[in-house]
Amino acid sequence: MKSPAKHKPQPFSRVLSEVFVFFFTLSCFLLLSPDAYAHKIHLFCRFEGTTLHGEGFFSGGNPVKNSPINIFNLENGNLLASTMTSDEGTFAVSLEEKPSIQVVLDAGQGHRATWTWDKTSEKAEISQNNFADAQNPVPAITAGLIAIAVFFGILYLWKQRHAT
Amino acid sequence: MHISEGILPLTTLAGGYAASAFGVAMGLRTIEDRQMVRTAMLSSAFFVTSFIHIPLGPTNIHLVLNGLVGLLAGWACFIAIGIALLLQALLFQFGGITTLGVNTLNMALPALACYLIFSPFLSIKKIPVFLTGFLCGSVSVFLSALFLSLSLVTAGESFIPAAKLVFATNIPLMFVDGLITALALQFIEKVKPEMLTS
Repeated sequence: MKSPAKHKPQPFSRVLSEVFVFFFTLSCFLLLSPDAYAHKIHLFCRFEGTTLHGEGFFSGGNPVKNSPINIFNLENGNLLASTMTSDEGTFAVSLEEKPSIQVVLDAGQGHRATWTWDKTSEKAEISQNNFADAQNPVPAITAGLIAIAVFFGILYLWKQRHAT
Repeated sequence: MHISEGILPLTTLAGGYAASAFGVAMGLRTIEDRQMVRTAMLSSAFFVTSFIHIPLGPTNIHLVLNGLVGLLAGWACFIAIGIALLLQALLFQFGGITTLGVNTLNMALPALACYLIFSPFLSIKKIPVFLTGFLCGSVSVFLSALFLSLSLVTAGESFIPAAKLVFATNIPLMFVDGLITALALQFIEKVKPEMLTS
């Protein structure tokens, strides 16, 4: 139950100034955080027999530690194996055979690198998909914050319409 | 703490969506007009904290703050966290759309639990706000890491080592998140104490 006497609505100008200060503080945090501007990651793999060895590292040379590695069979899309990288960014997985595979290293925060092996041509292909390095993430974050504000604005109007 | 696409079985994904939909529906039903700006701010904070990384020993963690969101938003935490995770999936490919339900549940259910457990502490004022905040932040991350690990286990036995590792790497985060939640609550107590009890 609402209690109008207890919860006086704040003046709009005051709400607006609070919102402005909040978003300004968030933006400062974000711009001062060096990790907001992430690095490209690299994934290199090689077969020794049917054992797949691999290594993931950032462009600065730091290993991609404790991150999930998923190996997919390219012929049917099935997940063949899963593991995590070590503290050195390395991993090794024993496979029963050498099918065409795609190895996906997911370092979080949109950092993703893949290594594809084609069994017929016995050639490997590497690709990095790194949103944060490809472009400055701040515009996308700003868009996200605006989307949140719009969503709750619409929700506010919807609640008001259904309250009467 | 996002689970990516293509790992979890369909039953887990569907269960996550069903439970999260119930939570969001409860949030939509209970949220009041005066909570709207606060919930939007908490959702924004949750959205942005994923980008603030803290190097800690051999690993690198980012804040979660779902305990703070839960404590201040109540059932509306499902809306705040759900919309933030949806935008993270759409804009940054964190997690995914199929795993949105599970990821929302893993973050918002501990947040709701913290609201139910710790909000009475703020009302009775017998326990220092700092301690309440620390416990709230720590417990929420502990439960989220636990739920995340359990979600991974449903993907099969091959994911058990990964689930254990994910849980272990989040232990330091419990303390860091607890500390930041405690400091945030202490600050709110000084500048706007009515926010803690309303």
